[in-house]
Amino acid sequence: MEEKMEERRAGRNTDEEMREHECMAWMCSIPGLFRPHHLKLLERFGHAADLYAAAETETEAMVKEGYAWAGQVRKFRKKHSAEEVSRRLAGQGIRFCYAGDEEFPEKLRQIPDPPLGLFIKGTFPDATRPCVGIVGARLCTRHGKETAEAVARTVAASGGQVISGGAYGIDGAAQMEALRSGGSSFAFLGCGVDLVYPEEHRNLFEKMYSSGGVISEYHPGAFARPFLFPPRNRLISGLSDVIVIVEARKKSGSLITAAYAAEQGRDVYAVPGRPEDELSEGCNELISQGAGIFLSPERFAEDVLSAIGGRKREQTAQLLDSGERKVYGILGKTSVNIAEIAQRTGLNLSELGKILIDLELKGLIREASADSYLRI
Amino acid sequence: MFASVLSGVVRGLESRMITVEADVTNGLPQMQMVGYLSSEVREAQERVRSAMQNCHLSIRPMRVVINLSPADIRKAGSGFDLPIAVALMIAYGYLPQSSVKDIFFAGELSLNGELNGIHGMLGLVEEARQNGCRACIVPEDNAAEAAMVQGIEVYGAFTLKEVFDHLSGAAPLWKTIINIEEILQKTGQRGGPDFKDVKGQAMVRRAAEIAAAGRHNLLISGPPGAGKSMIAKRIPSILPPVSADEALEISRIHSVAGTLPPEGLVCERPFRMPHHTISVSGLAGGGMIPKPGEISLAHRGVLYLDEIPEFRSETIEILRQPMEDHAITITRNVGTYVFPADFMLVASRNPCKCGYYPDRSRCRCSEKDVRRYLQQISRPLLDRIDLHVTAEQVPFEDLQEGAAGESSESIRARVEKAHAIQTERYKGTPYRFNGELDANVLEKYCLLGEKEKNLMARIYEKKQLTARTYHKILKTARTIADLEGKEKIEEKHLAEAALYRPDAAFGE
Repeated sequence: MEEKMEERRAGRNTDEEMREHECMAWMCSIPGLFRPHHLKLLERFGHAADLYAAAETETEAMVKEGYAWAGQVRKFRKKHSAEEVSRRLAGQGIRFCYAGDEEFPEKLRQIPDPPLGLFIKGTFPDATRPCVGIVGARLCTRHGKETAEAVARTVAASGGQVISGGAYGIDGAAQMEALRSGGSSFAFLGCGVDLVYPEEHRNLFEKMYSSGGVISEYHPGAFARPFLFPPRNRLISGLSDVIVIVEARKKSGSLITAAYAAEQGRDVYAVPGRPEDELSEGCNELISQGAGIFLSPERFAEDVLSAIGGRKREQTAQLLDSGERKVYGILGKTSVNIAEIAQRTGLNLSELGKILIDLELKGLIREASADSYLRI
Repeated sequence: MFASVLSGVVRGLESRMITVEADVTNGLPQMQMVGYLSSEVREAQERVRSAMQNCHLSIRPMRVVINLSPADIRKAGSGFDLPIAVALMIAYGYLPQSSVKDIFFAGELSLNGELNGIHGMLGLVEEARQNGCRACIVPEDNAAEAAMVQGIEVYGAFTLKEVFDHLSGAAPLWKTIINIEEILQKTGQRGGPDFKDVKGQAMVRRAAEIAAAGRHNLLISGPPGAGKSMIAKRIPSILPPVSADEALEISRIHSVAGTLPPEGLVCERPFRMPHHTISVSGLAGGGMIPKPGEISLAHRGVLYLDEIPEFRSETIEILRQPMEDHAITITRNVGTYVFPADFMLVASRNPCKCGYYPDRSRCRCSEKDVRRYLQQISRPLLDRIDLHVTAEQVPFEDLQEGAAGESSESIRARVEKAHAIQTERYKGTPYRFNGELDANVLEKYCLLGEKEKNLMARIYEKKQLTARTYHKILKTARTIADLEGKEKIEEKHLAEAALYRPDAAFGE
């Protein structure tokens, strides 16, 4: 039973799952089609593989029923095979990931309207470390930028990851600073991941490809258009454990992100400003509605980040298997030697080595000195 | 009268046939020796004269010339006493020339006519057989060793008189016959140090097993008294027993060095533990007429360097080339010598000068001192050591009631299985063991699946590995998989291999 679970978690072990992955990638790559269209197609065909295998007449039937966009499916089907799409994505350094893949972030599975598939350059955030969304105005003040950078620095220093939208202003400043401080950062785009928008942030994007990731729900080649941005905000908040709004006007995309965050049950913190300050109106409004007040980076690290870290460790500790639990149980705040762990658990070094690495990768323990481990 | 007798000289590990000629004529009484001789050979005339007199073979005062040919090879060693004496017996007419036809002689004489053993006999007799000799007469001390060579009759003699009686037909010597297989079997049953005496230290034991299985080099760190040397000394016991060919190969080196055991054959894996004050030529081999050093004496066995930071760095540096080539080439003005040096390196070190770091209740070394101490081992050497492991102080309870560990015999069974797998895998390649793999063939032999690659990538990032460490982990994981008889390297093999990687905490 456990083996089967393992297999499923590893994902794509069976041909069928691999096929579905490939066909999902194909479907999500059809130009001009977005989430509502994909949902409609899946509702009708069940699986992407079935859509891919379906006869032309069936999509034609949809067009006749009034879904003019369904014509795109036929056109795309004729020109590009699923294999070719996968190959082209790989050639561009883009990976595709849908909800059936193991890699797909658990947090995004749980939001009310989860994405069907994600295109990514780089990696997904490490689920065992805190994710902090930092968003705000594009046209921000210098002071706002500096605040965003201070938050990002704090997050990076405590091992957290910064999530944002890669835009001008607050977003870009926070992400760049996180990377500069040796942390990692992730951006959700309102266009295809093969594009760099805004172009001036090419440097930032390049850095994220290697230490972080650039992610989009939209097919490669999709140009940035206004209606694409609000839906991607739900992904920024969805992947974050906590959102910090640095500067926001009364009507602002950041407030949309905050609203999504509230809906998804994520904590929202806002940086307060002077009442007459236009760029703080949104933040102050959020505070009046009950958002947390961002007092200082130090307090934020102390109160929020450490709590998230602890919560995460507790969560992961809950999910340990019996061997891992045995080893984790022996470790404490002072380091224990491997030979002693082996003796007390009766595990051989091969099994123990695997468990220790797993626990370490889960962020629960660390190597204290040569051959000894302790709990974080 | 003219006489000639066959003998030989040792040059490095090789031997060359030498013809000893003697001519006794009328003239001014004198004895002349020619033929590019070293002083110990020149001194032979005094020993020979006395020995012969004391065996009642009088040497009448005549003009005697002794020539050792070919004349362009430098003759050294004391093995020419016996052939010179025999040549004189013939030249003086005590024996006919035909009595020494196709017989090889070597041995040192004492003044009373007794024969003493010499070094390098095994190689000399092998050379004699190759040159068509049917028999050899050697000192009894060397008889067992010489008899290891098949296809030639070996006679051991205690005195010059016995040799004379044998050649004259008065009293033939006993032929020495030895069965190599039998000796090997007998020594195989002899109980040496065994892993079952080691209590606790599960991790070091396991590392030793892996190192032996894949012929990796091993570094053991730990406080004094943790059992580092105890474990190292037991590593030969988990290596496969030596084969007959290997035994001859090892014995040849030990024969030249004069370190053969009394039974005449090295039947166990050598374990060499030179003191840290050893000189370069002591370790590598050398001298005016080069002799094998410790690394060659450890051929096909284990070279254990205890307290490796204490060794002089230039001494340690010379290990690099032999570790790659499994042989060392020594060039002197007398010629170039190649000594095999195919050994497994096991090294140990204290974690600091006083030995107790990181136990700060006992260690008073400053962090800087600790770092300096550890950095005394040269980087290139560390790079050639795949497994690094720490021995912990054994707690009192373990010493008292710790269960006896697994015996060497059952560990050896696993090691032998892993060796067999490797022999099969590397057939037709220059490699023999996982520990020898070069970085460019790791892809081929240490192929990882998707899942394993993923884990390795995460370990790489988490532990901030270097490419070199990554390669070591791969090689070690390959061996762990071989120990289990698995063809594919699995996640747990990688995870365990990562436990033995060079540790960042130790400043490497």
